Amino acid sequence: MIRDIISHIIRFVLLVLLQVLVVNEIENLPFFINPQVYVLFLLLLPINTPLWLALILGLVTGFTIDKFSGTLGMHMAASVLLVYVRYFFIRATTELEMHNQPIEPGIAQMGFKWFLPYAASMVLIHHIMLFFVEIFSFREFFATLLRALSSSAVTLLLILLIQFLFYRNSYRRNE
Amino acid sequence: MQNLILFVQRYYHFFLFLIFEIVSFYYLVQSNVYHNVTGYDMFNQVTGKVYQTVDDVRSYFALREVNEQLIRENAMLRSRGKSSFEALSKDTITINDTLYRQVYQYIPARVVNNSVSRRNNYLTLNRGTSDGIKPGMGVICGDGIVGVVINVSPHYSTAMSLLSTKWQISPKISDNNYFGSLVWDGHDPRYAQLKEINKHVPIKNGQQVVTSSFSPIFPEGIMIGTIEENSIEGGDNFYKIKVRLSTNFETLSAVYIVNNLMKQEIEELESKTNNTP
Repeated sequence: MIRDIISHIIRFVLLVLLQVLVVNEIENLPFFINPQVYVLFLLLLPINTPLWLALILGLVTGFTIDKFSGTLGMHMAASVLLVYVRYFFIRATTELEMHNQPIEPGIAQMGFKWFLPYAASMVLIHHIMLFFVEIFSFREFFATLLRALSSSAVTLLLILLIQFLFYRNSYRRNE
Repeated sequence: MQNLILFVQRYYHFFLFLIFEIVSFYYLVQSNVYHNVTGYDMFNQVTGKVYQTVDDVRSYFALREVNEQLIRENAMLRSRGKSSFEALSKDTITINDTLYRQVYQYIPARVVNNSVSRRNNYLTLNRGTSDGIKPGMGVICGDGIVGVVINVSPHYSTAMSLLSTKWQISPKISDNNYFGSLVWDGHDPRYAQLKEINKHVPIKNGQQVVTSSFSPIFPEGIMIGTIEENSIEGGDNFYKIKVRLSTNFETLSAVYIVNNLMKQEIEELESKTNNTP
């Protein structure tokens, strides 16, 4: 239990640092692509995390990223939405007996077939929220949507990459 | 209260989510200049829309009052306009002739109210006792006869229109001087019915019907109308004649009030004669 919490904290710190120090430094991408790798932390919260805790964690994660990038509120709003939707997505797509187990909804435990649509839809919702909050208007709707879509694709790619790189062991172990 | 607590308990996740989103947006607008400005702009637009709508609704309810105000103002402006003044000179036309004795006097008047759609129609004219108008005077216009004055106030008078089922006059056919009795049946303001013309009298459509000298109200020979249709029903001794009135009562505006200077004398003499044992 404690180990799990520590591993989550470490993952949180690493992903935030990766996001802030590496990914945010990559600029001049086409379509103003801005991938958000840190959402992986929220995606991998155990299935049995109570929603209130998940919401608080989403708020804290978003706040941290916002503090580093000076965009207070933007990532908070997007992350809270992601966590909220995630709860219902997991409830709708997994077995009932899994809901109370500390399962990490990653490729390692849930399999690639379940993880891809899960990650894709969550990332998409997060990014659409994020970029529309950033623009704060629907005036350039399609430009913003394109930006959200392309950024989501890149984020998803990075998330899958990280999963395969760092969880390869556990992934194999489970097989 | 219990229900409220149950409700909150049941949906507290959603409320938590909502609160967190509100917190996020609060920070967003508070700490980002762009979002602050855009947000205020948006908010201003929303409040502007709301106030606009409220104002629209309110102005709708105020319409009656605004209308009354405008009517009052209109009336004030109208009463200052030229058309609301009438010449103070009493333009009574009097002709002094040494060979002829003047019998009729014409006083120009304007129709201020008129109707044609009732069974008994009345006109209101802008001349009254101060202009020498008395009940019983005739009213004519350029096209023909109009009616007879029945009520007089200091500056106005009402006249019974020819279009009245209560009133009948005795006109004559101008070609042959046969006279009958003209009544209005109360239907079409363009036509009246001429009665009591005997069937031996030659009648042609298009003949003119004019006032006779029998009535002290109108001068003789004032146009009334032309015969439009005539017929004799089987066994009847009198014609049924439809007269097209020459006066267009629907557009009546300028009329003359006829003052028979000798009327009183005639009436006195007639009543004396009638009362002779």
